[in-house]
Amino acid sequence: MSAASIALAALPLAALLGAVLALKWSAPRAGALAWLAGCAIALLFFGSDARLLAIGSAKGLSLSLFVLSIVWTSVLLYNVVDELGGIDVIGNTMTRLVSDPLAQALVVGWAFSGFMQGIAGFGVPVAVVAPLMVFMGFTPARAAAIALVGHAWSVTFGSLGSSYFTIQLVTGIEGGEIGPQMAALFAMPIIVTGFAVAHLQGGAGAMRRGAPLILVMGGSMALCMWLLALVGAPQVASLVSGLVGCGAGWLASKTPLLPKAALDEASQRVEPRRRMSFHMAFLPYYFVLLLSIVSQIPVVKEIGAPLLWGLDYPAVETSLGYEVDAESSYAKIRLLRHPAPLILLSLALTYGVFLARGLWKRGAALSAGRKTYAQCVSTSVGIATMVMMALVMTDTGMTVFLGGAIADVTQSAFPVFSPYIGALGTFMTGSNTNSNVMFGALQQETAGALGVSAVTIASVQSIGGSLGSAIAPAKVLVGTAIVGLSGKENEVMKRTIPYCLLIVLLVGIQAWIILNLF
Amino acid sequence: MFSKDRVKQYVFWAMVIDAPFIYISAVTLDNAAATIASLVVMGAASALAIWSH
Repeated sequence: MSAASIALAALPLAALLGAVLALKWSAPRAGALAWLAGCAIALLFFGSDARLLAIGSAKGLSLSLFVLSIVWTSVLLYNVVDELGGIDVIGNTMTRLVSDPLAQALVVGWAFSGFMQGIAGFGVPVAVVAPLMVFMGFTPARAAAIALVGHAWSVTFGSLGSSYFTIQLVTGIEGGEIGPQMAALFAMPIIVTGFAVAHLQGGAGAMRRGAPLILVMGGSMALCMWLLALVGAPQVASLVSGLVGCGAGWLASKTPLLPKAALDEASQRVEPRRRMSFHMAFLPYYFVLLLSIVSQIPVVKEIGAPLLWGLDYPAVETSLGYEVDAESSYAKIRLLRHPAPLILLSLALTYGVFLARGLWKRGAALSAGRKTYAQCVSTSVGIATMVMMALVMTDTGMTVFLGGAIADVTQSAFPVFSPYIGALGTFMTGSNTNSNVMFGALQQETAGALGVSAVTIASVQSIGGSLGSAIAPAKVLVGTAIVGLSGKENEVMKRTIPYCLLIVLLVGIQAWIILNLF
Repeated sequence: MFSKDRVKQYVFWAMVIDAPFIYISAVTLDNAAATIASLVVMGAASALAIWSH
């Protein structure tokens, strides 16, 4: 294993990293460069040929289709609800229900943002929660920072599980194995992000005052996430946990668990006249929830088993002797279980109900579709190119090679560094999903080389990726733009970076303890 | 001259259209010339993505 070979294998990732961090390139631009670099290195130094490159890239595109179908449909759903005025109603209801600023930060900035991540993801929680918090009286930089840190616990199981399904696909670890363990490992970061939000709201005093409330909310959210992962409904684990957290926070904030604080003027705000009830505004998400649960019923699973789409791939081998097994129905999309068809069905049901009740706005679907297209094009190019790069690296043996090198260097300290790799991936690309694609197989290979649990390391990769959302420039930009801080991203990032680095370190230490002491 | 915004759309659609050809040429047809052609299209789209995004 020469240093030159290691450097060559790392070059596509280094190109991605350098383009994003040093050159400040966007994700699609950096992804395209990294894919081109990956292809060139695979061709020249790792025994690849055009067919092998094409097969690796096609696998990447198959995986991209699986993930992007979730991204496009969840953003479309959000935009339709927004067009119908539902997002305003949901936001106003949240503001009316909770009046204490600390409780607002926790219920809206922590739990509700997690719920929003559960249904939409893709920067939407920051886009919705940050202005809501400014509406409640928080300063713009604090509002954006709370939204960024507050939603970071929910990203892996958010967007109806797109990042979670990706780590499963990339590593080949069964959902029944990785889901409950990952959800259990999320318990600590869930609670710590709650304390971070309290600290952002009011410093150490707010942490002390809010501790009982944070423990009740965080405990409820963590338990809920674990139970949903255990029963095989990970796609709604963030959504339902966020909702449970909102409920627990609202109820607990009315009890002595949260000592009273003086109310400010923001809490006396008069709510504008509403066009529809909260439950009506929330109906599309009720449908998503209901259909996700129905899709897990054994009879439905059995009926839906043959209804799937996926491409078959042949076994391949590089001229250096690296072999990849054949794949059957790669990145399969199950019609009755994949989130995208369920979201589309929810949209159709919503259309029927809203039309019958006279609440449907003419042109809402078209306008939402246009917005969705505008929002998703660049992300799609970014995801496709980065996933292709990751799969070309994997199919030509570069990932395995790098995994061995990392294992050699870090040895027993690797679990501590593992979540930082996940966070780095999200920092670079703005996406937990992209991070899992880029580094999932690498982390798995490294775990294998070190002889530690690949399930724990893959979980920690995704948790680190989730937490990295708090500092990812792509998401920070969404937050700063929406609260009127464009060009002053540093004001937000200097608030979020210390919390993110600390929580990721705690996740690494937790993983090290689990792997070494149990 | 094309604007960068317009080129971004072309890049996206070029990738969408080329995606099935990469699979068909390399797996279904197993044809070297078609495979190289489909990769060249994806490579050109990526080069344009570097310029336009």
